[in-house]
Amino acid sequence: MNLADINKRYNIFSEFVPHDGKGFTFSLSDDMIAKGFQATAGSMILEGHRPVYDSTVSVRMRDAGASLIGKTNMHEFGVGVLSVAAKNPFDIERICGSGAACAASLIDDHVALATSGWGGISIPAAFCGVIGLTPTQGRVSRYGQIDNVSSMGPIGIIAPNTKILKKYLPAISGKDVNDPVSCSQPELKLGKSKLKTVAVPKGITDNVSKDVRKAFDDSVEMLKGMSVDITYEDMPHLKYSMAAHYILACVEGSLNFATYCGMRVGQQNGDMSLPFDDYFTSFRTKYFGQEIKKSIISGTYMTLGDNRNELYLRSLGIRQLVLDDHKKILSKYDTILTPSMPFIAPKSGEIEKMGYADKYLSGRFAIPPVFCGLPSISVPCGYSGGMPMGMQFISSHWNEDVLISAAEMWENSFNIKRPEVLL
Amino acid sequence: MDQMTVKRVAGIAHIDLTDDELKAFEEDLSDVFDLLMILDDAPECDSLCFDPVGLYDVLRDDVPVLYENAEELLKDMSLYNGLVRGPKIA
Repeated sequence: MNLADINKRYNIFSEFVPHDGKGFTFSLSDDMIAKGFQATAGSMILEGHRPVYDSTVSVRMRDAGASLIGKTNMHEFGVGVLSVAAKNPFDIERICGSGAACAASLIDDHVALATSGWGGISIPAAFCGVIGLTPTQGRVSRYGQIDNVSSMGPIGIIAPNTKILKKYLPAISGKDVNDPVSCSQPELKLGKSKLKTVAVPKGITDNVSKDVRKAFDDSVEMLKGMSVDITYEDMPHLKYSMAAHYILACVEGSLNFATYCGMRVGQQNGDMSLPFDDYFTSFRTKYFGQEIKKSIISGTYMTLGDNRNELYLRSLGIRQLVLDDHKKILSKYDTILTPSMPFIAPKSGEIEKMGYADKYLSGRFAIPPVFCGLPSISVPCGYSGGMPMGMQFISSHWNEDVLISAAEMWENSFNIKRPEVLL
Repeated sequence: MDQMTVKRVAGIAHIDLTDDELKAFEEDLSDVFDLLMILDDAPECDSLCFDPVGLYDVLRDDVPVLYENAEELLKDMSLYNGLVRGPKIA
């Protein structure tokens, strides 16, 4: 199949250029800017937005010799956990989490860049049976990324194998004067670490599906067979992370989305005779989707009056507790290991039956490391009915090396399957 | 979160909701706000974690540069006599 046929079948790209898919190629999720391409972040409100400059990651990938073949579909501004933006390469009736993971799964030697404020790297990587690396917050410049969750959500890599990941992580990492927070990072060093010790949070597989629990337990046994020491540890504050993340993500998102009001970018074809406030309201009402509206209303509510102290500032305190839990464990072990998702990729109809909170809570493994700015890597760890499942290693800030080493070691022992239809 | 609150907050955020949306949003947001109740049981923490990684801004010199192709920057904006158009203020 060629790129156009594959896109027609899986709805991977919002925009792409003709390409035979050969050689090293890359894609950007639609919240990253590339000159000449539309950048909508999956939102109708940004339709027609064609920036005149390139994101730093786009420039760096091209400089490293990769060809940009398109912008991948994503759920609106990446808000939420279960995205129906594209179809799963292992079963088109199921979701895949994002077009980025679908591209990495189907196209050889392809690097898909994606953002992770709501778990948007580990989750789709697990659903699509590929490897997803979320770097430390600040490792990769976010210049040219459409803002969503400012204090979390770095740009990361989804790839079919660690060889490609190792090639391009150094290319996109490093200081960038256009993103001041990237300039305080230590140098990325790869090939120095080896996975020896892993901590598994006690009770981490409670309330996951039977097939995920079995795959995870089998993987733990397999790691033991690879001379990795496994220890079960308490993480008493982990249970608070999802509630606190929801608050911080909605507050930060609602502030960033205030930019979009029918002026300067995207949709601007409104009735200029309307009063100021009505004009803005008409655009935001018409062009924001339901999930974004919910997150904006939540975020606005959480900063009103006493809620600022009781919800927003309280969540910042909770983040410190959750981070301290992680740091304490990671001072004794190389990584923390969890499943990536509690179930295999669901069908669209199954998602519609889920409650709003249940959908969000399904990101309870992928979101905590993002919440704490910690790097993580999701690797395939089993298959159920042909559908992939993933597990996720988490390491200390800036220690992406041990994650790649772990993924490489795992890749050499575990048979990672590819979907039957490939480009 | 009752419907009155949802409607009031949506208004502050410049979003109009239909009656059907109000009902659905009340259910969904109440659902997720129940989840937030877990924070009532969380211990107090003295420090606030604005930035989990400990990043700091490394600022470059602020040097003004003339961007020569202003028309390119304005090409997708709704303009009137070269100025960005907006709604009337009053």
